[in-house]
Amino acid sequence: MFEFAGLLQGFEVAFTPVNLMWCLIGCLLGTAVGVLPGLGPAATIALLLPISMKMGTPVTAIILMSGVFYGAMYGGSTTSILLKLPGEAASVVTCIDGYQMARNGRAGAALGVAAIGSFVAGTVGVIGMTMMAPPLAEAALKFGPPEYFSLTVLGLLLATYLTGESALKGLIMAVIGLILGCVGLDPLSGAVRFDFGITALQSNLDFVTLAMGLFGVGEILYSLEKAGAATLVTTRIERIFPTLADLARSKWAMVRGSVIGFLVGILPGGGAVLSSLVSYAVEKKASKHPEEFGKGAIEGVAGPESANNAAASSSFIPLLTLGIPGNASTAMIFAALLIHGITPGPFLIKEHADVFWGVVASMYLGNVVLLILNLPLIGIWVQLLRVPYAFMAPMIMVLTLVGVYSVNNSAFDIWVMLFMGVCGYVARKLKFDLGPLLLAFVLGPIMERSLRQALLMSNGKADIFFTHPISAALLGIAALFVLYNLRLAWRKRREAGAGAQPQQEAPQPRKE
Amino acid sequence: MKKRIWAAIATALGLLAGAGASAAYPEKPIQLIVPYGAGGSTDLLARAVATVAPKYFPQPVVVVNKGGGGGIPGRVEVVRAKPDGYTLLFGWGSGEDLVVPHQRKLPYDLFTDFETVCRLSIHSIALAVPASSPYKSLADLVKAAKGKEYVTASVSTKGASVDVTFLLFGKAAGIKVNTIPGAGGADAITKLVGGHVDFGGGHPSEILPHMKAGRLRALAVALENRDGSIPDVPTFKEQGFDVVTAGSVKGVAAPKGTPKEVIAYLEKKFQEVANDAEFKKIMGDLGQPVDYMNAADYKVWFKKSYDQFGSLYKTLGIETK
Amino acid sequence: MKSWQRYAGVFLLALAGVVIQQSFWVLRLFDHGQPGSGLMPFGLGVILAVLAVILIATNLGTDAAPEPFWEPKAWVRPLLALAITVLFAWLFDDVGAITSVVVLVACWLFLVERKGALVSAGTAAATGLVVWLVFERFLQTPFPRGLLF
Repeated sequence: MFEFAGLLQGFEVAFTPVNLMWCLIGCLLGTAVGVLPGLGPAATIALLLPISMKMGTPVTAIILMSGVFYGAMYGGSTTSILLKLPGEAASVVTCIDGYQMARNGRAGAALGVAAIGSFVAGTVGVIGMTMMAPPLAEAALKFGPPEYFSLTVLGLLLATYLTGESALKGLIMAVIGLILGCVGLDPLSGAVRFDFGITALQSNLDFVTLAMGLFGVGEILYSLEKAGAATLVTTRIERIFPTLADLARSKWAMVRGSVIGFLVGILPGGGAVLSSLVSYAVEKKASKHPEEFGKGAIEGVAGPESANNAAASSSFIPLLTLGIPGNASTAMIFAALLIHGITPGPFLIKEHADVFWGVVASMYLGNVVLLILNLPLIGIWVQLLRVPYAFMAPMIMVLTLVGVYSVNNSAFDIWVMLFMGVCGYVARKLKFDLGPLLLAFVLGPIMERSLRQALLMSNGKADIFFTHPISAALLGIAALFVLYNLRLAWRKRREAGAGAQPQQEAPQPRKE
Repeated sequence: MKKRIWAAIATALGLLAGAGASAAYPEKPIQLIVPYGAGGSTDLLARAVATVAPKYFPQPVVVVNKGGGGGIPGRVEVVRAKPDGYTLLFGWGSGEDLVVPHQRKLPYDLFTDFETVCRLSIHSIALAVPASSPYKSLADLVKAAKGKEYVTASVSTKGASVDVTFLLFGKAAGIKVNTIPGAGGADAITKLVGGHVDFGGGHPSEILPHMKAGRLRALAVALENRDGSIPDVPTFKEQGFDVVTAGSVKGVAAPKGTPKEVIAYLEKKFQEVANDAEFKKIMGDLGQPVDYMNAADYKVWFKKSYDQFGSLYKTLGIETK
Repeated sequence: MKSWQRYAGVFLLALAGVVIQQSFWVLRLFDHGQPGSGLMPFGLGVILAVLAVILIATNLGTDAAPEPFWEPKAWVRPLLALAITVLFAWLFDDVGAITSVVVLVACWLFLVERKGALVSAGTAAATGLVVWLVFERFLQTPFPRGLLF
């Protein structure tokens, strides 16, 4: 399967000075938009489309655009870790442990592991792409509406067990996230839902607005409670880079994350988000110290950050081999290819070998470039934390306010974000975990669409979810997962009951 | 002194960001609101326009996707936008404008809330099946469907022109068609290619790449005569089913109240774009015909097609509200 | 915290009620025999109601060591900051984005963080400049215009 000659030809293409330069620019630009909240990779690639027409060859244009896309995946973790502001959906899970690490003075380690994990995963993704793109893309096509529904159900169940303080509260937040995902126009019929007469609510809520409000604003308000001496970093920043022990600890998380990300990323839709989620859940189950998760476990950063990068690489597989874009960014690249007169599809590898292998080779290079670029940047990012929190808080607030406005140029979004900020603050005070809510919000529309599509396919009979083998298997895993956790909880509860004093939080969770 | 430094910084950055120095309209980027997701046929057309636009517009023309919700939220956004010519609806004349208003009430008035600018293209509607499907013609499909309780068809959005065309086909052939709406054209085609539905379809630009790749087989096109971009595909009429729809028309509109001279300016500029050789080449690659029509003519044509769909609904007895 | 958890449960139950009411009577579960707009929200509403009841049930009784919602005086700074941000959102459209940013940062530093007037004003002006450069000039965000800018 491994077409060495093709890859060699690709490197010849990628190593020309022009392509090398645009690869570098793409990676730089991608990192920048990944760090800045608001403007995402899809919007940036769209802005680059007209410019790309001026470039001599389509390869150069695609190298630039893909650089922006996977570069953003590197940058996306930065604000999640430092400020608890997820710039994009795939970095939500990184907030959980990454931000805790930053608070413990280990921001450098978190950022370093995220960059190294991204590099490992990006490279694994590209190697996987070189070797088995076409058969995998074929397999992904087998995912129809019932399969998608079951996959999102499984993904959400994993999400509710994410932080594990209380599965009940996680589940409640996930359901609220799904309900928030329903606000606005029905994706299938176009009917208006839950607008309560407010016209601005008729278009659906925006992810960035929600995430910045719940996480960003909520966190700022919460941190203001501790008067005076509160700083973002409670202890001193010890080291800029992760130690060897850190790397040894996160080694397998990176590998697992890469594989999970690669496989899940091929699926169109929420590939990158789902993969980061699944990776986090897997790490927590695999870890010898699951109690550290949510309090700054380095595997909780290494796994998901690897997963979303591997997913970014592998999402090129359905695009280039089937002509099916799986997310907004690859859809832009799809448009760029078409505008350059190249039809993405099974014939792309044969008819435009220089494009396919050139882009693949540039991704190898791009990952190296990004690692070299990002490691020194960590030192600079960490310096940000030395700014006294008294000054940081209003700055972060301004950044979120202006960033949210710039997504849709809508002042209404600012109000929505503030409302969400208050909700996030209260939820935080009552120890409700917000991660599942955001992830459910992203997956909700996919879940609802596939649920109703599947029911249309079966003319209203629910057995479609069990007669399709992949769907049945996914639901089976979900059921086993719930049963296993219920049993675990039951046992814990009994032990806690035997161990006398039933204290506040400890024995209460894991009940459905 | 300070002012000079300021001015210098401002100009430098201004140049960097590509801001021109013209005083009159347009003095900032023009947004084309595409009320569908990225990668669909309307989106591709908009991006083709944006790509050649720098030759004719002094300001960038930016494509903004406002997808989902059956194409309605994007339109609502344009209606609510300031009528200054910087927010334009791209895709004016799609199924959501010609077909959907006959079905249900919309949050805007089709004829008083928009200002027509021009028409750029017409997309016909083709019915296709996966290449692995046993159906080689409409007759095969209908024969098989008669033996079943229902057949499934993937369509881009509920109530849009593709959906209506397939429902009309079901009526004409006497079979029950469960249309399965997706999140835009690309999503519908993915389901069709994956073989999750009996048939599906969309505009030639969407299915042409898959036809070339041998993944889809087009069985019929819903026009009076065959479509130039897929000349081998027979019409529904040739196969004995009276299914003819105007397809999906792609035009540009502005919010009501946009100044006359701005409309005239845009009309002229879009005509220049439509006549551009590079644009025509891109459109050829996309599998979309260029079919420019000015504001006055398009307004008349639009009303006529709209009424046609209305009477189609009545004669076929499709649910209307 | 048990009493607060119960209040949260009651709030969630009310929320579930609204969702169920809306999806059952306004959106409706089925549309011509096919799954309609209200189907999924209705299901979610029911699940949320069940979960809320469980939340209330598991938090009956009183805490061994009651915790107040706010530590003494802990509410002052968050609410003050929130008020300033609401002022920002309210000014934003009419007074202009950059001016609002300057006002927000200045008020925040002066009132919430008790910094000196000069430090507050200086930092605010610098923040305004950076926001203007990055968002308005470089990213070309069409901010609402107002006084001054």
